[in-house]
Amino acid sequence: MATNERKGIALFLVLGLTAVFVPVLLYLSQTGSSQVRLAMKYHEVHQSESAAIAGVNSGLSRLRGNMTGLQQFTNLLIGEIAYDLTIQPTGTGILTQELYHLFSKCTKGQHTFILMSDAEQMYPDPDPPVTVIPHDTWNTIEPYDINLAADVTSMENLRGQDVLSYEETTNYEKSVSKAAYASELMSKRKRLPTELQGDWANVVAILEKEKLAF
Amino acid sequence: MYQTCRRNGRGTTFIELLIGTTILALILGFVARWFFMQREYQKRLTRISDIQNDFRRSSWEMIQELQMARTIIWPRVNADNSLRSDTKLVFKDFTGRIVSYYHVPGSKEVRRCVIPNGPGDPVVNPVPIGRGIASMSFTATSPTNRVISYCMSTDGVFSLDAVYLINTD
Repeated sequence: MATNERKGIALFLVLGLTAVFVPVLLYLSQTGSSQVRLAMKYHEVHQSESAAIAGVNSGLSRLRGNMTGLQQFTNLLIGEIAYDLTIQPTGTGILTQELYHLFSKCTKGQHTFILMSDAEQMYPDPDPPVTVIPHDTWNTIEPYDINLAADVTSMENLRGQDVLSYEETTNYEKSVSKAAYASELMSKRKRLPTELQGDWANVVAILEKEKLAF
Repeated sequence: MYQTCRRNGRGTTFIELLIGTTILALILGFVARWFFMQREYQKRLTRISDIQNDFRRSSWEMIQELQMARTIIWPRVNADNSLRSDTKLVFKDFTGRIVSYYHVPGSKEVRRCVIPNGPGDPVVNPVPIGRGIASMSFTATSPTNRVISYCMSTDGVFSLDAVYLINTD
């Protein structure tokens, strides 16, 4: 009889504990599942982007500090986040200023962010800070190795394509009259999504007013 | 009770079983109620996370392109420099094309349309850049047309962000 009672108590305890622990475990497993991982992923994305932007800024600071020539830095740190920085000379400008490409790369987890920027370092300037003018900035999440010449060339080529497209667009904009430019843009109105058609005339008016000219 | 059972040499009584079952049922009832409350809470959290995830995805898509853009065309601040908002954004992208993001309330989507800055037809992206977004507005905050802030909302969840354009016109 005593054995039966102990079995009853044991059964009671087992059922009770199961009833308590199953939902707790289920809750914990759900909490630690995909949403948390997703949040971490975006955290990494933002961290890598911020570090790469800070990397380019640090490169500009080095140029202001009169650093010249090809420079390749790896494992530079912003806090605990590492980034690579390459400062690559590309020639001399019409004012004898040095022209550079800056590459900054940060990889965090599965995410890579590379930022590329043009910069002009003014010469002659014997004492820092040297005047540095940064230009277009261009980014990619392709996993290039910015310290390999081939990858850098590949990035430059891609960027070159963008710049060529930009030149093509600006050349067209400069070559036509304001009236022709506005007329061409207005002719697209009926082919636009309904949501854009309402204010398209206002948009074209701004574009016409700010049309690039030679 | 235990001693009584042993002394009398009999099993558990119906009353004892009833009391045991009642206690167990009460405990199970409390646990089940707590469990279902947690489930509801979990569902609410998941829903909010899903919405925030939609916001993050569309934000990411837009920020990548916007920060490299040349200039904001629409909306622009008013003549007295007061803010102006709209459900669509028009800007010149890095390559000089005219690009627009616009909200479609019916399908709760944010769409992207590329309009050639010259001859050519407008092309709407087949896949929306944002889904599950009930309302969206872009606000011009700077007379230099280099800063745009945007607000998205769905079911009482909001996301507010701003983008600064790095490149020059």
